[in-house]
Amino acid sequence: MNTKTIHADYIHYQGGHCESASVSSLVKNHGFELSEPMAFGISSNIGFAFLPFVKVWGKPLIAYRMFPQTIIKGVQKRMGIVFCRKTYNDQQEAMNELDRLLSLGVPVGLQVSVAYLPYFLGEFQVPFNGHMTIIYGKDGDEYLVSDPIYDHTTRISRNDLQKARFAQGPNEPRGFIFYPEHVPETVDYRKAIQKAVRRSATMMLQPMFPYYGILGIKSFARAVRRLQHKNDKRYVRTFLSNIFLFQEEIGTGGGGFRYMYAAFLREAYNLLNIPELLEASKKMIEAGDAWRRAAALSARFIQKREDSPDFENMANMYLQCARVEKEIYVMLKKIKWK
Amino acid sequence: MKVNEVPQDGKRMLKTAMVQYAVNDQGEFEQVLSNGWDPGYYSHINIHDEFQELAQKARERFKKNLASPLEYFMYRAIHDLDSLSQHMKMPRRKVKKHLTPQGFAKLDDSTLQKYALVLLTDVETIKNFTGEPA
Repeated sequence: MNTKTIHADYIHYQGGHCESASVSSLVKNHGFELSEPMAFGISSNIGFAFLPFVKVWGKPLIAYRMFPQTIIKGVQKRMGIVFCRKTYNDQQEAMNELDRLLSLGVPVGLQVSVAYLPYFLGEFQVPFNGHMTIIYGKDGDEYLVSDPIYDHTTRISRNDLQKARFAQGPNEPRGFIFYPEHVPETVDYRKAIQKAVRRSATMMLQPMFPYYGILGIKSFARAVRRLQHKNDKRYVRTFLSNIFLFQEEIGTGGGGFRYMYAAFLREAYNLLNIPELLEASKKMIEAGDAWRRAAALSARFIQKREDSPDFENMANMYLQCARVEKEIYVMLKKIKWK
Repeated sequence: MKVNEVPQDGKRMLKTAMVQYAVNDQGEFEQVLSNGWDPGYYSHINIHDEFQELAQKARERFKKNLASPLEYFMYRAIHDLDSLSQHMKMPRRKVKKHLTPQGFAKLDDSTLQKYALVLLTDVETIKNFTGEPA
């Protein structure tokens, strides 16, 4: 088999976060201007979850956004961009369908497991199933990958791709594909942004569940404070490394998505001219800076230059984040949308 | 974060620059490429080292016939008992049993094949594991 389908006019865009960037990149290549922060914000994906009973490498799970695939659904719901979304039971059928779409000239977004992607991390193969990437062409037995986290395009063999698409485990991809089928002529941004912002604010201010939203940040701060009674230095070091990774390193666009959301609010202000949005955007940058400074407090400890970080200070910083964010969401909730 | 505050320390585990959203002088957002921040790099290294160390211990345990080779391959693939049982879709206690030499001896080939797929190796490597560093 030596088929060769390459899209000469496909443009590779790099982004901060895998899912929002691949959605925005696919939609842009379909001829509709949708920036990455807009895709992220309009699907109300900002959040904070601290789940001490769900363990990642033996440490509590910390997430700064909603589940995988929610950005695709959110963009479809709020903006009316219709995506084709499919999962498969049969592996061969899924690969054939991908070939067919590529031969028609459609770049396809896929959900894959990071561990089976040889180009991704090299030696450090983390089992994580929620990564989104784009395949835009095929050359013989190799697929051309435009991974939105990467600044260049690469190739992957059919075998590896099949393994990655059908990895087992928590949030399985099951061969999930998505691509835009229809983009609307115009979008009612006022209504869409209003709904998105209101939902984010309501979710983050929820008063019942202590592991999500502002309450989540507070209980997370308490957990950080409790670490000072922990004598196991290695546990503490890997825990703080985990926090640092999830907040700053693994495709978040910095500051646990806060900067990206600030960019969304700014874009919303440019579209709608509501002064509260501008102010909220400025405050959101402050919140991002607070998150970033709090993580940076553990930097010397992570690099093994210091025996014990200042847990009190760190916890207070996280509480500061909670305060700043609460102000923002209360403000967003009170906006008078005409 | 201002454009000039984006960390540029030059070391990353991923072989690419990372996009960060920063504010320029006009107050507009820009995508700025950051080529790494040291604590982020060392966080990766810490977790990697942690699992490497566990894998070495598992290797020693295998040599003393206290553990099955699966334990070594588990830590090598950055899994622990919880995540391995989730990825294998098996109860924790079953996986735990397979991590002992007795339980490993009773494993059938199809289950071993599943383990090999999750742990990023192949059946032969697991079966012929001697405990010596390759």
